[in-house]
Amino acid sequence: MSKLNLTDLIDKAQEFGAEDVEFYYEISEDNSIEVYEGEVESLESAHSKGLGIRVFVEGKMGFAYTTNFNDGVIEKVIKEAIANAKIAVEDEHRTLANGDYDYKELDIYNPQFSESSVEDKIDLILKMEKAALEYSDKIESVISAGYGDNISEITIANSKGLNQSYKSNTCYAYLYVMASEGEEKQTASALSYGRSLDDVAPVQTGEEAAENAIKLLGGKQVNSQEAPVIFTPEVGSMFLYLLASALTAEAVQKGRSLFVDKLNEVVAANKVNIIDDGTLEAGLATAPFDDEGVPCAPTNIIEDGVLKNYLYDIYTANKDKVESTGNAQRSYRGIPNVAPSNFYLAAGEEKPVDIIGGVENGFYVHKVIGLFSGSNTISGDFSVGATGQWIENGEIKQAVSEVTIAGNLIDFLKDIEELGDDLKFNPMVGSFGSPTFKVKKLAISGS
Amino acid sequence: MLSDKLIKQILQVALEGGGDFAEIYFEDSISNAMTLENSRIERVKTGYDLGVGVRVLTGDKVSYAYTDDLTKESLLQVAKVAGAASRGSSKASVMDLTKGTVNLIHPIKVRPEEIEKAKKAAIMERANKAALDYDDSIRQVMVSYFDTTQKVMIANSEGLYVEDERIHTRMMVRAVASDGKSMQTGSEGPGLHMGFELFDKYPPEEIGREAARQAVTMLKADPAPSGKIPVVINNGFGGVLFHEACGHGMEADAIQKNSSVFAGKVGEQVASKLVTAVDDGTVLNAWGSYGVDDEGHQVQRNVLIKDGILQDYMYDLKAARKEGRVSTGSGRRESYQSIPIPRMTNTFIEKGESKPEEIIAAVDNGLYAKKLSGGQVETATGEFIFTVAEGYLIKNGKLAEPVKGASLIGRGIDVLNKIVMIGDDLELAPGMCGKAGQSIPAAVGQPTLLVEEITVGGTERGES
Repeated sequence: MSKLNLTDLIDKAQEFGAEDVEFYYEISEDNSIEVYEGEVESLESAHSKGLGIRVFVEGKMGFAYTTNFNDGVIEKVIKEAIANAKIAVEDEHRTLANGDYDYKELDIYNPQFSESSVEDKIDLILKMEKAALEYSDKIESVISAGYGDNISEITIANSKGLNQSYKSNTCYAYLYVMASEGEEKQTASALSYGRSLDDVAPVQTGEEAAENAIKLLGGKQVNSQEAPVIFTPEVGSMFLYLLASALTAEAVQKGRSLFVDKLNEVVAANKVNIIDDGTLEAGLATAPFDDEGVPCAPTNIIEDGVLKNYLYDIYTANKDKVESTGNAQRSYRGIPNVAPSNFYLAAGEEKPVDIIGGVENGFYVHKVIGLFSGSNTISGDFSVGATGQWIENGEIKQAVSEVTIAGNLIDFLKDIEELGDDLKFNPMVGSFGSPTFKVKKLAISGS
Repeated sequence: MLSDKLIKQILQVALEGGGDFAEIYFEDSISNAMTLENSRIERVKTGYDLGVGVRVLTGDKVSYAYTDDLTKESLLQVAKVAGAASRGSSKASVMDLTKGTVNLIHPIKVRPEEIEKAKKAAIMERANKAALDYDDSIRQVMVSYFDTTQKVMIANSEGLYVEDERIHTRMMVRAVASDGKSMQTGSEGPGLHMGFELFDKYPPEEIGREAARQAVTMLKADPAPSGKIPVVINNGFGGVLFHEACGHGMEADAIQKNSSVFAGKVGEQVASKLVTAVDDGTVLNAWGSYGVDDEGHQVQRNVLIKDGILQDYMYDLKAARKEGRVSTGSGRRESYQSIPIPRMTNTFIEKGESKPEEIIAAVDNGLYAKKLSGGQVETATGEFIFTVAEGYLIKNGKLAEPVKGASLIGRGIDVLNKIVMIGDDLELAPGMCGKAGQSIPAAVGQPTLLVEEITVGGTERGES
């Protein structure tokens, strides 16, 4: 693939009238495969690249991107970015990363990966599909079973002297299954990922999806009541996603967060620790530096129940006169935003079975729907559709469906009573992790 | 664009792996976007997307490769990769290309590139001012504007060659109101398959005021009750419930995988007799309309349900080939980076005979969902949850106080069967529809209608 000379392009942009310039260049190679009923249904493969250009003219920022690298196009795109800057309002807080940083060495690129064969990848999904179908007669079908991988190289260069790049790769396999009993149907999905094909566990993943769909069959509504609720790591990680959106400095500065003015205050139970760590090698959002070139690092957001920090990129950090936490995120198609990297609720010491065993009468949630549309991250109120199992005297009694659970996120955090030892990341929604945990009480509405 | 000779060559190379159908999708798009926040224009962006995808079908298997490098060598390499992955044994050949035309042109009066950036910014400022001036309780206003001009060319080994252009313009306003104790938001975001003339139809001040009105109204709202009650769903965006909880289940890929409650039910009663529902990409200048779909098939009107009886599903080429029938013109893709799959265009429940006020008057004790916001649906089972952004109690046939935090939960097919009144006020509303990681413009719609019972999950406490 052709290499762009970004240093020359910086000079060119300055000639055209930009005071400061930043290029974000992404080259990637993607493959995906889907199988259905033992046959390959689709195979996709792509090589692509894109260049995002940020320019500053009189303190005003403009942006443009292109996937078109024909002669003369980059010059046109730079000029368009400059024209866009002229429309924007001046903003002293918009600055670029300064050239000199030390980055942590991370093992996120497997150079052997590109030699993996298509046959091995296909074989892996076929095994996964088969494992799910053979798990039980109740598995009616595997609606989709797929595999994907990506190798990418990100380069950031700016007029402050930064010029850095890194390579990384990931691969994953997922499936979505349907179980049925009579007229009733339930679905579940599972996913496995890593940086080499050996990291992906097809049989285990196939069985996990099958088991999860089957255990939700026969679900009934329960009476409306307040009761303890236990969250699985999968559902827990969805709540972490929601919390993260309110813990970015952007949300806080714009008054769109329940955590406004809560720094150094108790916002959760003493045992609650929430961390963002862009250097966690096992995570999917891991890199030596963020999308502005600032080093990634672990950041304690909630420590022993106390709110310690927010997530920052350069822009929001300038506004609060603090340092960026290395949480700028973007693709070549956009301007950086603050976003979580690997964001998780730290594990406790209890076994999940013991947490369930200690509940007299409560709800074990396996799936939620409508969490994002049903939540207000300003007031903290949430209401979501939930499917799961009812616990009576420490034992799972029966499946529950078509109920909603509602509460307030602060009460929710303060009412976390028990934390499991089973921290798990859920890459379906980004890179959010959670162990099994129990909340003292939430409002459940059913019949 | 590419020369006929090169297109033929690419298609030929693509078929060398033994596939029985090859297709090229060429895309050249320009998008403009800007946001306004705290009365300041920020984030002014322009994007150029150019690329080519090559698809090969072998029976019902698909292989696909794309590139943004339009040199001849690179294009032939992409064709080779897609062809090699097809692993077929067919000896299909490439027919001569016949230049086809788009039958339905959606007229564009003012193309986005004819309008200066400053003029687009001025429209945003007008909406911003109208929202701020609406009431003292309005604290923040966010306005976003975007337009896209997408040119596509589709050619295939059966000799099809067609070009289409889709222009979309949209502005969204979000207003935040606060009374010192709580904050509420309201939003409004019209968009159409047209150019800057959008704002003749939707003056920016009206868009701003409508967003502000919702936010201010919801400040006075009480927590919603919960339970099974009659619900009147307003026209326009209320149709998102049908789109999500039923429409996706009528897309042929879900049907063929038997992962839909509508599978095998053509000719059967699946809804109340009052319900006729269509997916109609021919509605002039509607948000989800086009000339040809992303496989080059002319857009058409597809009746999904007639008088409560399921008529047909929505097909792309691949799903249609599987059943030996023709596509319904429903093959869409987000960009050259994606394969086409069956999708909706403008999907709506047809108008009925009742007046909206008669519908409200028919309810003793229920909920009026004036505006739904987002939701989520499990397509395989039709289970859904939607949040009511603006809701009111209905008491003795009259609208009563506003309520907040209500969510509607249930199953699509149950709701269809419980529709007991349909209004005469059909309206469409724009949305971005996501499926298989691809996001495309699709309109939803319906008239005001009454569902005799839906489970409402409220936030009112101490209920049992």
